[in-house]
Amino acid sequence: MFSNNVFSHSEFFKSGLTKIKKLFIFLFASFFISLLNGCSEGDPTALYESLIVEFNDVQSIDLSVLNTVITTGDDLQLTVTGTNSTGTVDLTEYVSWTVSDDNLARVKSGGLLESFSTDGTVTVTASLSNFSDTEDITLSSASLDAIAIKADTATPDLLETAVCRPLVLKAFGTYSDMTVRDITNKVEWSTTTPSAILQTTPEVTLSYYDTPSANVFAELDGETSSQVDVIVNEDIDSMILSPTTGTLSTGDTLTFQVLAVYGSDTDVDISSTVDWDSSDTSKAAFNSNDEVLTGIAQGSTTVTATCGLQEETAQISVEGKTITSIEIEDQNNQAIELLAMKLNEIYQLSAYVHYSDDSKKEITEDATWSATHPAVGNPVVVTVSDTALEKGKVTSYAIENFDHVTIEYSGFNDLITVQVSP
Amino acid sequence: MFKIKPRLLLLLLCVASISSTQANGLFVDVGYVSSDVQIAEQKFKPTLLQVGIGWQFTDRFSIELTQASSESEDTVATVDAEIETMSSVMLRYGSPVSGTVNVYMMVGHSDFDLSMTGVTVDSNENFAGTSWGFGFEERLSQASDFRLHFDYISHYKEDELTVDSIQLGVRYVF
Repeated sequence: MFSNNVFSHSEFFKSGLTKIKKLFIFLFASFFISLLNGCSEGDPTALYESLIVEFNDVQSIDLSVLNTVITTGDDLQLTVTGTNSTGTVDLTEYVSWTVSDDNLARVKSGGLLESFSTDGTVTVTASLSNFSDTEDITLSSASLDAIAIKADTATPDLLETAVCRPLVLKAFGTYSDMTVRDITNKVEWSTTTPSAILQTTPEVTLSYYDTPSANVFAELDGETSSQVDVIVNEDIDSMILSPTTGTLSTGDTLTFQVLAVYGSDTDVDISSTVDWDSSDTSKAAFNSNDEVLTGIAQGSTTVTATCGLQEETAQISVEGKTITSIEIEDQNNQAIELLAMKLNEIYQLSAYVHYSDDSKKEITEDATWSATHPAVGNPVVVTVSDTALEKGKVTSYAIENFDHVTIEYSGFNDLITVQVSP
Repeated sequence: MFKIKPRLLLLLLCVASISSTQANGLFVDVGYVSSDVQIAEQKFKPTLLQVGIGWQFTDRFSIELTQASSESEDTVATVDAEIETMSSVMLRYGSPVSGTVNVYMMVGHSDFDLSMTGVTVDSNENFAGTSWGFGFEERLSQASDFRLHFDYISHYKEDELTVDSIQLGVRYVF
């Protein structure tokens, strides 16, 4: 009955599936078009900045610069500091930057302002969510007229320090437009005082181990400052070296520290300005007179830190790698305990020493080889050569019982059993 | 951000439907989505429950539409993050590696509502982007219409915000 029906069940089902398929394609296309066209998109930048404010509990931001007047074409690092309930946080990498005139300068991510070659004043704005701060930067092509060196202290014109005590220095340039700018990181610093230590990172410091003074001067764009004498007028009261004892392995390093006392100032770190010495540089040595000691070979050395008439010492031991065992190996470089030989055969053995650092070295020609015969009264089964260039060569002579082959090296020994078959 | 032209996609769909030599048919899907939301140097892991419907044009080519709703939010410091809803359409191209296992790649589009709430933050925004991913599915047996699948999908990727997910689900092929 059903087979006569024009619309059999299978044909009806196929027809239904085709309709479903077409409807499905239509639904998909509609859905996809709506996805592309019908949805507003959020601003990930705004969300990102608001979360930075939340996670850092930012209550205000402050944009600061080293100089508000710079030479046209120069770069200037901008810094944004956020204030929260516990202190401050550096937000420079998170803020958005805008400039009032992008023909004068631009700001790259990270806060580096790049100025172009036109004089003028540009307003830079740093923004983070609802917070912002601005700074006016003047670009000037005025020339440098003079360089002055000052101390970075409460009395900048007083260039005085104590023996071995670093004095932080600043350089200021006076320009033809009557502006004075901090050019500490732009000048080239120099000293002609032998043994004076002039460091330029992370800040510029001058230190000297003796009285009465050390000189310094700075140069930029062909302009040179007057030579300035930093007066060294205070002796060091005492210094503390740490550690005073220690052990390191060969190849490892050990860092020392020296804290000095100058009157009421304690804990002044002079590690980078004292003289460092190792009494036995074959065991441990300092690299370029810094405070890092490197272990070279097993032994001991005395470390001395010297500043003027003051010195402190430390006793340091260096551990080298030690022998843990020696082994006899076969021709496959496998450690063995039993060697099976044929009668009248010659077999070359080798010897290795194993160290505490898991390394090994061949000692075939350095070890002492011997054969022993535990079966008293029986013929010699094997012999082993202890002759230079032939050490470790085993020769079999008889098949009765067995013999041992032994090696000895630096107080260590190893033994294998040799059995000979016809 | 790359955008697929709607007319091109319609054409692809039509060609696929006409040229399919083995129309394997309709399938439905339910699954669990573990998402990874990275923003402001923090990582949130809200989860969703997902349903889907798709069409298997050939043994290798299929398309699926999915809709997911939030199952749980995640909290980092003072901020709660939740993906309230996520809609996706993915074209899938696969290859059998055994009688019961298929591996596949996917490309498509995702649209989601991201909610973030904190002391100062109160945001509920919609984001959309080109998505891609890969996965594998395994028939529960040679004759079974049920397939277990495991996918990785990159839903959205910008400098400030990235959203990925791993998904575990079951498909039933009619």
